[in-house]
Amino acid sequence: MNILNGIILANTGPSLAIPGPYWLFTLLHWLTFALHLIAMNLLFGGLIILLISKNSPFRKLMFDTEIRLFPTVMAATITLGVAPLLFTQVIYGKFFYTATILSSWQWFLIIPVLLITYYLLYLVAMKKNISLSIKTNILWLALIGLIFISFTYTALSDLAEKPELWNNLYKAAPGGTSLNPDWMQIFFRWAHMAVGAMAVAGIGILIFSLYFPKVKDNPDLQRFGARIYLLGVIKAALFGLIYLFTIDTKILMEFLGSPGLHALLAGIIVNIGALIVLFKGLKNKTKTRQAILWGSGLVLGGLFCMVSARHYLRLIYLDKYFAPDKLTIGSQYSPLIMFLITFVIGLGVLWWMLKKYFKSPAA
Amino acid sequence: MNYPVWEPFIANSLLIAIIAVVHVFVSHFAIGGGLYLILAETWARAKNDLKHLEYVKKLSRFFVLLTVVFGAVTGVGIWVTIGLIHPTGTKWLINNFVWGWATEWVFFLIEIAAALMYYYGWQRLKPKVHLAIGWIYFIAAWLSLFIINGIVAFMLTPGQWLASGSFWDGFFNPTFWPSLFFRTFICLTLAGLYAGLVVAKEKDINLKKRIMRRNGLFAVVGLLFTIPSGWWYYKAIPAALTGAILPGSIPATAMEIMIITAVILLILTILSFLIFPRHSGYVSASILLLFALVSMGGFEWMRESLRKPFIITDFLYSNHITTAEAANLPADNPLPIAFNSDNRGHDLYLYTCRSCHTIDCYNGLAPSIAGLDAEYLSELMPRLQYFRVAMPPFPGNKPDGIVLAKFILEQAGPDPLEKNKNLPETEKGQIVFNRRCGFCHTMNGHSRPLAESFTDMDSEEASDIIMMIGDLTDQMPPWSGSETELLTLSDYLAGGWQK
Repeated sequence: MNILNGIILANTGPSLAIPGPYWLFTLLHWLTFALHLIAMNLLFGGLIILLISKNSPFRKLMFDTEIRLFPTVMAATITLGVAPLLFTQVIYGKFFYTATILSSWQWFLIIPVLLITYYLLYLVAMKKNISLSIKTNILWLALIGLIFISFTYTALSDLAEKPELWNNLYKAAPGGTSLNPDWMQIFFRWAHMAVGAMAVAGIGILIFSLYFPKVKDNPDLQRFGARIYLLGVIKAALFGLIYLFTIDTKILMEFLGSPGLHALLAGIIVNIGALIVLFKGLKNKTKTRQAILWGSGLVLGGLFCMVSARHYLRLIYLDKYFAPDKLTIGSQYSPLIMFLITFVIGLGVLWWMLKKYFKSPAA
Repeated sequence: MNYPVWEPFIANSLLIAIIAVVHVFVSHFAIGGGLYLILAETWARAKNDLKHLEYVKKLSRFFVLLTVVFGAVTGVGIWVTIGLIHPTGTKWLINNFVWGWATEWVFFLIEIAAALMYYYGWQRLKPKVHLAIGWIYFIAAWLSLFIINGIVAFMLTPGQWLASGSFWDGFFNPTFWPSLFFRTFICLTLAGLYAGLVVAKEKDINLKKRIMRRNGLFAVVGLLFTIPSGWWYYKAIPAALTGAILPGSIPATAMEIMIITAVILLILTILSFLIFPRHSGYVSASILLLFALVSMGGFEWMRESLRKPFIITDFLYSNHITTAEAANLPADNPLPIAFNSDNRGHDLYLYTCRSCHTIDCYNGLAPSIAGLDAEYLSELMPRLQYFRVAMPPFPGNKPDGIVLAKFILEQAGPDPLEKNKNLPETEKGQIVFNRRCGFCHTMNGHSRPLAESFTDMDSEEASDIIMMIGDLTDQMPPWSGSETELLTLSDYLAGGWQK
């Protein structure tokens, strides 16, 4: 037995063994989930900001020329969401499948809702001859779709961590119509994510101001982006705190004594650091660019910390039902190498395409 | 039985079939269409044909809207759905092929990024770079097929994996290569057909004719090559599985649908795209696509039905048990069910039948069992392996069989013989034959025909044999029907079936 990796199984025939060490799947999950969160936050947060900030320079920029970015970011969100869902299913499959089956209809509905939302975004991006007010209304519909999808993910991720609720839920509604009963808790968990998305989208606006020729170094846009980030971080902290207090005291105490607390504190500290760097940098024009890049890097680090804090909280929730060191591990080294090689080559190809695209003379 | 069971309003197998067929119909175009776009762009640029280039741009917009959005989301939809309707099978596929899925994800990522850059890059990128991105798209899309094909083919023919459990044995399984070629040619066919839809409204008649002919050529060449690759695929499937293609069986019906519609599609494509391209419009292009959809649906249906009653052939049954677990059946203990309602009969129905059956909709149980007695039906449960249509073994014990039998009989409704007392004797005989003998026998069909055994017998002799069947062999349950049923069945067997 290997404490870090679980029980190693000799390759003796078909088995449900985990085809690699637990830490590797956890790392890959953290990495790909953080990437998914970036795209999702830019989409979800960006759309909220666009719709609620009526006179903002961001709204003007988007409606004037860049509205097509939404379906592109949607594509990135979906594509980057596949990998973390895959790695989650390898390790936590039985929890994930059970929770989704209990709420089958809610889970199944995300597919048609996703499809409609995606096409609504393309409709706004591609149709030239529709009025601004109609476009705004369509985007509100798209936002409702995204709220449903994100809320469903939050609710089912939460339900997957609470096996003690499952039997009663199934007995009460065996037809797949159960919903996670901890409404208050999942609302604050979701709200924390939603306002956090606005904060990340605020950073996205700042990055915009560095690279998009039409708004390059636009101080209005930069101030707006920083303000959104500040407000987003404050609200995310508030909702996050309320969420923590809705958690069962025993679990909260265990969480506060786990590495999850360190991850959480690190996330808070780097976000405070990002705020200081950004607001100081925005006051000095010569340092703005550097500040935005540093601030973005810190926010990215903060996101990674939050993902890992979430992981530790899940482990505490599942403590009675799941132990990483009891997982049976198979050995699939050559397929793993195939994936790693493909991943590296894929990143290279992606980099080359993006470079060609953004550095093209017409860009 | 570790997971709860979802019981949507339609059969689980039908639900996944609808989503999967619609998805593959678009995702195969996503591959063939990629090749079509780069070849068309290369040709248009080489000839400096700006009008043709304009059409390729238009096609690329259609392509992105269909494949990047609908294709990608329905692909995720398949994943969501299989997790809901068969979590056990999904877990086996995920755990054994996670590095394959992860590799496919990398190709998917490149594919989506390249498709968007190709579409948005018409004005922005130099032609050479634009084409290079088009090629990257196509290669990534085809490699994506390469991976998924391995896993889908594995479910039908797991090959050496059954013994070794090795990723590569499962991936490069006996139908991997023929299936890959077959699907690649389907991709080409669909590319030509979808492209025909986009050019259908073109006003420049010469341009339309030129493009339509090229589309036709793409589709026809693809279709013609599906013949040898399809044959190769068929021959690579073990005879034990293709043996299920008997006249009137589901795999045979599916194969007939596939072949007949493909032949009609070939003829119509030649007529519409190659001979009368000028007159080809939206309607004709849509009809061709409809035939292609039906043909492809037939193919996928055949592949799935050949695999029945397995999720992974010779390894995992559709009722969630493995062949190793099945070796210990019949069970002495009740079937352990982790998620149960207060109705054991319903729970057993969900776990053991619902993967493939409904009560009275798709693949419904009611028409076959209504009017049976619970004792007889429960006696059939441990004998499912003798059925004409492949069935998984029943994982419960004897009392479970009785509870399940009572539940489904309650759901199945009244005895059709009681409901329609004025039915002709032959029809009554057929109803009794179907529910008492028809699960394993035919009168004069391919599966254990009885006609010969009852030749020259009168009704009384037939009745004697029926009464003895329980003593003849363990494979048959003892007779438990009513006196009326006995008379009706014996008349039917003793020649009534021929009237």
